Amino acid sequence: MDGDIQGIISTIILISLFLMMFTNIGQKLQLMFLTANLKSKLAILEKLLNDALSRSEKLLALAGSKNPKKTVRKLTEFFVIEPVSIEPTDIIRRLAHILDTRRHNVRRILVEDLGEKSKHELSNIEVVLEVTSALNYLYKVVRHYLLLGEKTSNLILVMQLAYLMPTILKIADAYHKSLDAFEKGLPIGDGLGPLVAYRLTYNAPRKPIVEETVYSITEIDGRLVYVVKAEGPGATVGKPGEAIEKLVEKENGNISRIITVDAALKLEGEETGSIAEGVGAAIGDPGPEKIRIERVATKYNIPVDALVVKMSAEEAIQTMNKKIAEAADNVVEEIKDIIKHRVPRGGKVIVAGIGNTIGII
Amino acid sequence: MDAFTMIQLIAIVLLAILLVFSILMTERKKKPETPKRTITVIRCDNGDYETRRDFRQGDFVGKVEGKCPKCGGILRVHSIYVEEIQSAK
Repeated sequence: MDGDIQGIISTIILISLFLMMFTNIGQKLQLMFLTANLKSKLAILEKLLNDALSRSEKLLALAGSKNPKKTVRKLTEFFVIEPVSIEPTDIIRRLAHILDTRRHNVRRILVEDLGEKSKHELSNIEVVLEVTSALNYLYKVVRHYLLLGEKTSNLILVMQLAYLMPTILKIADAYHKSLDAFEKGLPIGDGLGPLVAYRLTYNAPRKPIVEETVYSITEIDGRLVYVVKAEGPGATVGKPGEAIEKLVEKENGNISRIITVDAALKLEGEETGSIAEGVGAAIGDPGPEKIRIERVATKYNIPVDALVVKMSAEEAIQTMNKKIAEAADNVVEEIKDIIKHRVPRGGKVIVAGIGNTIGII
Repeated sequence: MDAFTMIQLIAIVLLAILLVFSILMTERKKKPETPKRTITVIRCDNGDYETRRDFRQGDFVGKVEGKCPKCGGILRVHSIYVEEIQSAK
């Protein structure tokens, strides 16, 4: 009897080993397990996307949309074609033009559907739709590679997707959670820059300077300070680069210093809310705004300081947390210190609070 | 049952345990998220009064919230943020 069991087990093991080593059954099995796992993850992505779609439709319906489903579909499928990069001449102007066209087209579609609304309300709806669009894109790309991998039995493709999936799900979850802040008009982590700008000027009048961007004037220890930020409390980042360029030109280059304040992505292990100082334009736009700051600063030889507050990508797009809100006060003190020590009395300085100003006037 | 069969059976049982353990590790439940609430901090322009309350729809940083009960100065929303609710143990 013992010999029988031993014989059966040995035969099964030998046959299994043979099949695994000399046929592609092992790979097929791996492919089967991986695709099954990926399908369950794709279902999670689909659930997040469906929730975002229904919330977007509800938001549009509440704002008076005639056909929320159609508008949501139109805007979540909206795409931008990047300018030609193998011929770099004028690429920044071409990119700025395309981004402006995109912004105006999206705004026009919303106004056509909702009628005249306040620009802050339109900005918030626009960002909710952008988040939904990002989730839609993530879902479609994952589904594409999964189906392609399955169709061509490409284990390497499926395996790469399986290894990337936890990160993709983390990003999708962060986008989904950010909907709450944009729906309610709450400040987000990326609003650190505008919050610092607010705390430097409080109730000083906001003067429009370029599209969706304002500046205020304040005085710190005998130095004139221009504080630039996006126009709140709607969800917009404005055009701080263009605003700085205009202010510097208005003053004929008579600016002692430009200080930029922004949120920066922390590395794993770094603490949220920690402040770092450096040089250069602290701004994370695709290029057009940053280059304006760099060009005008170089033209008039103005030093550019950068102050950043560290946070994770998730914290940057979700409702601002206490650590970040408290860091704003410390940044204000650092700015005052820089101004006192590096700007001569009677000098002029520009401070730009970079970031999305949702929930911050 | 001889020693060889015994070793084979032990190996199979160990492999099964390893398989179950690896599945459990992969599918382990995420830690439940700590409940959070959104706070609106209101402060007097003169800095002598501060109060906190739950966020209300329509609040934004810089919004005027009336007069200061201490000095009559203007009360404004100073900050809005989320904080974790500490469970009372």
